[in-house]
Amino acid sequence: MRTGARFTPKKLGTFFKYFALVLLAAILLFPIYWMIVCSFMESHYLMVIPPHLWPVEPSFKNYVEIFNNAKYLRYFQNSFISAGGTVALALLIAVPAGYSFSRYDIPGKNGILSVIMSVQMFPVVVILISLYAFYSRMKLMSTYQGLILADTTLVMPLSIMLIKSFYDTVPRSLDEAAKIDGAGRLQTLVLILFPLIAPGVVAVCIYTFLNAWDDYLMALILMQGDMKTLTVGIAETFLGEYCYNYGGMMAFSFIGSLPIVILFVFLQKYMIAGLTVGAVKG
Amino acid sequence: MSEPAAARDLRSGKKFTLSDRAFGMLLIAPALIVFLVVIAYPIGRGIWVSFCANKLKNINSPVWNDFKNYRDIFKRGAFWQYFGTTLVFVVLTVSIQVVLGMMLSLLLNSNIRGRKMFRGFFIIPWTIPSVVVAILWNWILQQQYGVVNYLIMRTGAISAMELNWVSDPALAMASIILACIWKQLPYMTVMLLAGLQSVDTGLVEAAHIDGANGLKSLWHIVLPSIRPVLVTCTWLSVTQNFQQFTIIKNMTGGGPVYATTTLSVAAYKEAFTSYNFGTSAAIGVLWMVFLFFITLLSNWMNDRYSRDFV
Repeated sequence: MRTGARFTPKKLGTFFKYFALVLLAAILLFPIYWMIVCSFMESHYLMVIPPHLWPVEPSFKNYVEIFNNAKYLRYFQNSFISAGGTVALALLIAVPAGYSFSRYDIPGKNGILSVIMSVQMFPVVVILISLYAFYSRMKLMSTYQGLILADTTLVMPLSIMLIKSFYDTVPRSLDEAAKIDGAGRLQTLVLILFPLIAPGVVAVCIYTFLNAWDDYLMALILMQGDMKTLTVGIAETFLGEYCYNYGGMMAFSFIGSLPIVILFVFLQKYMIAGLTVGAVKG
Repeated sequence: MSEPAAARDLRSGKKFTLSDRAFGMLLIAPALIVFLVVIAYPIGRGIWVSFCANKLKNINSPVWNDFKNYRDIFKRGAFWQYFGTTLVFVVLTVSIQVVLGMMLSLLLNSNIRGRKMFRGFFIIPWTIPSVVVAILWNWILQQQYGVVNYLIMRTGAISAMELNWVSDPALAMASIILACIWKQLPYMTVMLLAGLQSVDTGLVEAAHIDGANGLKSLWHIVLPSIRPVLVTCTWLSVTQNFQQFTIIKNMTGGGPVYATTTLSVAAYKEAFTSYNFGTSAAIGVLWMVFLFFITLLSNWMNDRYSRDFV
């Protein structure tokens, strides 16, 4: 503070900027704060005006109730398996395809790429109508394989594009050097290029896990009975047994979000790099 | 591409006999197979089903019914209603999001400390699952004990906890838009921020020296520079919100009556509540045709714009 505490227009501007940022952060994060606060209270403390903005008699009761319910634990397990499977399948598809699109001269490459990207325009319900008939015939209803395959379609386009943009950032001279050193094409892909695009692979893992975890529509139709996933389970209890139990509802919601939030906190760097690499390059 | 002949010879002498092109095709084969089986085939079949009577009892054997599905959805006037609702929802959600995202990303891109920390905070809502977003906002907007009604009451705009957000047609639309923007704004902001960070600062400084103020350089330099990112993000957001189902279904269920029944909610209800697969597919096909034309239009405008400026 060498210039003293005089208010210059510039300082006022800076102050305003921080003020706006903090205010916006507070507004955007309030719903999450509110979810957590409510999850620690019993419902009768929530049905009051003015609302308690800090938990009254905080307890883990709502959480204990959820963890004591075998049905809910099963939903958790289903979500983990389907989301994990989707990540694996998406990588298996996107890592070779992205490499190929980045390096090889494939006939009709741009056409194939734009068709794959246009998938996002196709109504999921129309895909589901056929999958529903197809899966019933093939006995794929209420199976992990069925949902994993369906969820993969949601994430495939962007996964391929992301991996391709990461390969694009690796100079081709590296492929050439590997070739001169006698490495085969598969060896180059696995041993030399794959480690270099590791951040991209991490980004795709997070992106696919997040989307598969978030999926509601596919799971709602394709998974029945005790094969239901967490999102469907949460929505159902909200309409059913937790109808007026807002505390329990918030606890369930928070647990349902937690895996993703944890993933995000630890891997934020990769996620943002992955999200933005394609966009900036166009 | 053109590779040195020496390298080609070197390799073809080895155990691999596959040409580069065949190898490349082999690598995309898994993607193409999945694409054909679970996307192309279902969409193709969906288009066929849209011209057929297809209910639960003949789910595997649709029968041609002479455009009855299309005549039905137009005759009841239902299609235009769903379509209008979808347009209102998509246009408002996307435009508000783009404007807010732009403001937020400009703020984050200015000379501030702790940019990464703020960006980290701002992105959190994006990680909350859509079902949770719907339930959370339903609680926040709850009529008797919701925080939003309480805050509005404190400002004196209403005298009691009387705003019934999800049961009033206009407020129901506002509710789903609010929840969707809350969830999607972080993604928009992060993408636009990445775009802004790639803008050549030299250009902005030059404009400043030439006497352009902040607003002018924003309009004439920054916005044109990030136009590709802006177009991509807007386009993604439009298609995504056409698909929006989870938040609408779990907040309003498409109601009250049909006030928030967008095309995706209508298609879902036709297919999996009434089991009129044909009618549902017809709604989906019309929606695809619309998005297809919008894509053509935006590509055409994009080309024209690029030609004018190059």
